Amino acid sequence: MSGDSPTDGRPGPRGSGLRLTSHGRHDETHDSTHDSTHDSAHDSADDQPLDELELARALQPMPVDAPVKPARRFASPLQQLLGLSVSLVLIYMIFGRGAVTPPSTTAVAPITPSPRVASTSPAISDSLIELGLGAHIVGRSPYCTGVDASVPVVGDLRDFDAERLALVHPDVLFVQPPLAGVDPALREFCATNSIRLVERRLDALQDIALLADDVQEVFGAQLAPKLADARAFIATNPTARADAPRVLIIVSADPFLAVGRGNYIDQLLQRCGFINAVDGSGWVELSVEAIIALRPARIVGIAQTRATALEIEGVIEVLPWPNGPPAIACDAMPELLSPSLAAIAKRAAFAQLLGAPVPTTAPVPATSPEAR
Amino acid sequence: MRTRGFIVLGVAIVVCALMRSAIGPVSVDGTIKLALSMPAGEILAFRLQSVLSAAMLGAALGLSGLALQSLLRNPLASPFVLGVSSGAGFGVAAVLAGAYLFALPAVTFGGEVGGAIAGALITLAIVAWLGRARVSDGGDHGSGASDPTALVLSGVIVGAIFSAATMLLEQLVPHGLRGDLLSWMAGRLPEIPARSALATVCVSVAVGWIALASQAGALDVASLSDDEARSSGVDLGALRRKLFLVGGILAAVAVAYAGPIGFIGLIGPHIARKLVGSRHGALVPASALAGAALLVSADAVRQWIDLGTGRLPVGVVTALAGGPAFLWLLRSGRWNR
Amino acid sequence: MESLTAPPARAPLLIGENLGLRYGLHGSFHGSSRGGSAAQVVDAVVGVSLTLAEGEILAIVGANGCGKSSLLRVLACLETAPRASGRVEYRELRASARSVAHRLAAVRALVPQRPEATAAFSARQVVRLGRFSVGPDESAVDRALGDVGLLARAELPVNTLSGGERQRIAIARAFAQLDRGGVGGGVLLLDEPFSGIDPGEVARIVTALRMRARAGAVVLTSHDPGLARAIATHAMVMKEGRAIAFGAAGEVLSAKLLSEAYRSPMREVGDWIVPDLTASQSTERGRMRS
Repeated sequence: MSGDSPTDGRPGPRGSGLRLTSHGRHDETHDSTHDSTHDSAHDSADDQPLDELELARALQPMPVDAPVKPARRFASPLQQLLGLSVSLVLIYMIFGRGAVTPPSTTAVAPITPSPRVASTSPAISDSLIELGLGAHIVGRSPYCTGVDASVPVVGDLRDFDAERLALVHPDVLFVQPPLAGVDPALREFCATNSIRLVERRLDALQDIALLADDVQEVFGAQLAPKLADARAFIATNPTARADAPRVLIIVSADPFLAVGRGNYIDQLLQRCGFINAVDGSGWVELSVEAIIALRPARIVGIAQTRATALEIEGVIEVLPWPNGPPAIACDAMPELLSPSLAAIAKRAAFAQLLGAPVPTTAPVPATSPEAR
Repeated sequence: MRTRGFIVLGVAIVVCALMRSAIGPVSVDGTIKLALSMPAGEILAFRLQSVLSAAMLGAALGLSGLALQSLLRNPLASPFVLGVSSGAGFGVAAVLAGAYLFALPAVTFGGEVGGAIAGALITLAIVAWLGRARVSDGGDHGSGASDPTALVLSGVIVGAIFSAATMLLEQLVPHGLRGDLLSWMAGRLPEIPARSALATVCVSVAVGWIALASQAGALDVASLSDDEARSSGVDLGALRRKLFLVGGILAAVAVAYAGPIGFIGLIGPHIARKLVGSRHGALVPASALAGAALLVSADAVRQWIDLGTGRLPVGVVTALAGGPAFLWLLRSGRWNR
Repeated sequence: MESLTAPPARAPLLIGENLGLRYGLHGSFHGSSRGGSAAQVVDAVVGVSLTLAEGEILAIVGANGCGKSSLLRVLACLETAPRASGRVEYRELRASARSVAHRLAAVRALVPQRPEATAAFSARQVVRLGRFSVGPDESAVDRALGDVGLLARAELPVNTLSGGERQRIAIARAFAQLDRGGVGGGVLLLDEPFSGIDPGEVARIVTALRMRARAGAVVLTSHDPGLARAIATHAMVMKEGRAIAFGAAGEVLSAKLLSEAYRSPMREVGDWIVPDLTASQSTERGRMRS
C-alpha cells in the first residue's frame, strides 16, 4: 500500500505504534489489556514495546479479579419441599405394602355360565340380550347400554383394552369390524389367549341372519327355535312395487339424518311395502330444502327416547311445506337403531309406525297399502 | 451440572417406567380394580412393552421438538404448535381416504408413514416460510431469525387449516371410515404395536439422534446470527436442511404411529435445557430422555384414569397437562434462560 | 477513485476486485434475475476494488445505506452469485479436503452489526463457538476475553450482559477464531464494532485490534470518521455503493471528501472530523431574520 513512514499508523517492527489520546499526538502503543484493574485511559507506565508486552502477558496469570460467578438458581425451598414430598409419596406407593387402590365400580360376576362371551359391539350385545343370553356377557363396550353397567368395559368398535380383556378371560369375543378390518393386534391377542374371535359386519338383514348362525354355533343348537322366526323373516325377499309410496325415515332433527338405501332399516321398509324416498346409501344428511323437495308420502321418525321423537315430529311439522306437511309419525324405537335381532323383533311396531300391515313371511300382496 | 441433570433424567425415566408398570387392572376377588402393584410374568412383560413404546415415541417427539427449535431459533417451536402434527395427520387421512375413494388395496403402516411424512414436511415448509423475520429496510439480510409471534401464529393457523381439510376428507368417506379417522386423531398409543411399526419408530429415533448429535457443535454455533454462524464456518444451508428433515420425519413417524400427541415436543427440550444446559452435546440425549419420561408418565396417568368408557387417548392427557405448562412457560418468559 | 501508490512487497492478504451486490426490494431475487424494473432493484455495492496487506487497518466510512455493511459481507464471502459479483481472494486460503466454509473460517472472521446469541450460553461458551472450524484452544479463548476486557465476567450468561458487552463478546469470538497459537492473523471484518461500546473500552479494543493486525489485517466500518482516522491506516469512503476514495487514512479522511460523502458540511477539529454546525447555524439565523 502506502510508504513505510512510521507516522502513517502502521505499527513498526519494534513497537513504535500509535496511542490514542485526546490531543491527537501519536506516541507508543498503550496496552491496557493485561492489567484490568487500571482504567484504560490511565497514562500508566505500561508503555512497553509490544514484543515484551506479549511475553509479559504470557507469563502472568490471566485473571486478576476473581471471576464473577452467575447467581446460582437453585429451586426455592418450597419447590424443593414439594419435590421431596412427591418423591416420598411415589416411593411409598410403589414399594409400600397396602397399595393405594382408587375406587372402582367395575366388577366381574363371580359365577358366569359357560360360554363366557365378551362383545365390543352394541348391536351384537343387544342381539344376545334379546335371546336371553345376557348372563353370559362378561365384557362389553361403553355403548352396550343393554348390558349391566357393572360388567367391565373391554373395548369399543375401534380399540380394545388388552389387560381388561385378559382379566375377564372370555371364551368368545364378538366384534363388529370396521371397514379396514379387524385390528391385527386383536387377532394376535385372541390367538395367544385362546379366545375365539367372531367378527361380523352388520349392515343388512342378511348379516343379521349370519350373526344368528354365529350365535347358534357358539351357544349350541338349542337356540334354533328362538332364531327360527327371525331367520324365516329375513329369508323372504319381497321387493316393493314401483308405485309404492315413498317414505322418509329420519333419525335426528338437526342436522337431519335420514336412513339411506341398502341397509337393514331400508330392507325392513321394503318388506313393509314401501320405497325409501332417499337415494344415497348409509346415513344421509339432508337439508330442509332437500327434505321438502323429496316430497315423501310419509315421514317416520325413530329415536332413542320419546322426547327426542316428539322433538323430531315437532320440527318436521313446522318446516315450510308448500302444501302442508305429509303424514308424520315419530316414536322411540331404540332397538331399531342397531342392526340386531332386537330390531327384527320390533318389526311389528315399526310397521305400525309406517301405517302398514305387519310384514309376514308371506309375500307382499299386490294391492297397494292403505297409507296415503 | 450436566451430570446431575442426566442423573435426574435417568431417575425420572426409571420412576415413570415403574409407575406405568405398576398401574393397571387386577382381578381382586372376582372383580376388576385399578391397583398400584408390580405385576409378574406375562403382564409385566406386556406393560414393559407399553413403556418401551411410549418411551420411543416420547424420544421421537422430544428430538423432533429440539430439531425444530434449533432450526427456527425459537424455543417455542414444536411439532404440535407449528401445525406439523396436523399436517401429518392430514397426510395419513389423505392416504386412507384416497385408498378408499380410489378403491385401492388397504393401506399398510408404511403407506401411512409415507403420507404422514409428506404432510409433515409440506406443513413445516409453509410455516417456516410464513414465520421468517420481516426485514423492513431491505438491506440487512444477515439475521435469518424467525419472528416468534409470526411463527406460532402461522403454525396455529396452518394446523387449523389442515385439521379442517382432514374434516373435509372425513365427509367424503362413509361413516365407518369416518369414525376411524376421528378416533385416530385423538392420539392413542397402540397397546399392542405391530412389530414393524415399533421398529420403524425405534430406527427413526436412532437415526435422528445420531444425526443431531453429530452436528452438536454446528448446532451450538447456529444459535448465533446467520452471519456469525457462517463466518465461523458452519454450512447453514446444509444444517438447516438436515434439521428440517430430522424434525419433520420424526414428527411424521410419531403421528403415523400414534396420531397427533401434543406438547411433548415443546416441553421435553425445555426441561432438558433446564437440566443440562444449552449445549447441544448434552441437549440432544437429554431431550430424547425428557420426552420419553414425559410420555411414559402421561401414559401412566392415563392408565390411572378409569372413566368407564374404555381407554382414554393419551393425547388428551398430554393436552390437558401440557397446555397449562405451555402457558406457564409463555408467561414466565423462562423459555430462554 | 484514487489509485494505489507503490505495489506492496508481498502479495496482499485480501484482494477484492470489482465487487458488486444487488438485490430486489422486499428481499426477492426476481428483480435482479429477470431484469425487472429499475425501481425494484437495489445496487448496494457497485464496482468496488481494494487490496489489503498485512498490518493494515482499513476503515470504511460513509453515510447510512451507502453499502458499508454490504461490502463487508461480500468481502467475507457470505454473499454469493447471482446477487454478489466480482472476485474476492484471500492469500492464506489453503486447499484442503474441508469445505469452503471451514477453510474461510480459518482466514477471516466477521462481526456483524447486530450480533445475536439466542441460546443461554455463558460469555465464554459464546467465544468458544468461534473455534468451531479451527479446533478448540482454551488459551485462545482466554486471550480473546482478556483483549476485550471481559475475562472477569466470562461465566455470566450472555443474555444478562449489556448491549456493549455483547458487542465485545462478539468481537472476542472473532479474535478467538483467528487466534493461531497466540499469534494473530487472518482478516478481521468488523461492522460498526464500536457502536454501543463506551469510550473507556474503545482504547482497549483498539489496542487488541492493532496487535492482531500485525500478522493479519482488519477491515472495519464506522459511523465516526474521527475515530476511523485515529485507528486506521487506510480508509475507503463510500457513497451510494461506490468507493469514491481509497488510500491512506490521513489523506482520504479529509473534511472535503467526507462532506461529499455525507452530503453535509464537515470540518476538522484537531484530529477529529465533525459535522460543521456553524454553517447550518448561520443559515438558521439568516432564515429567522428574513
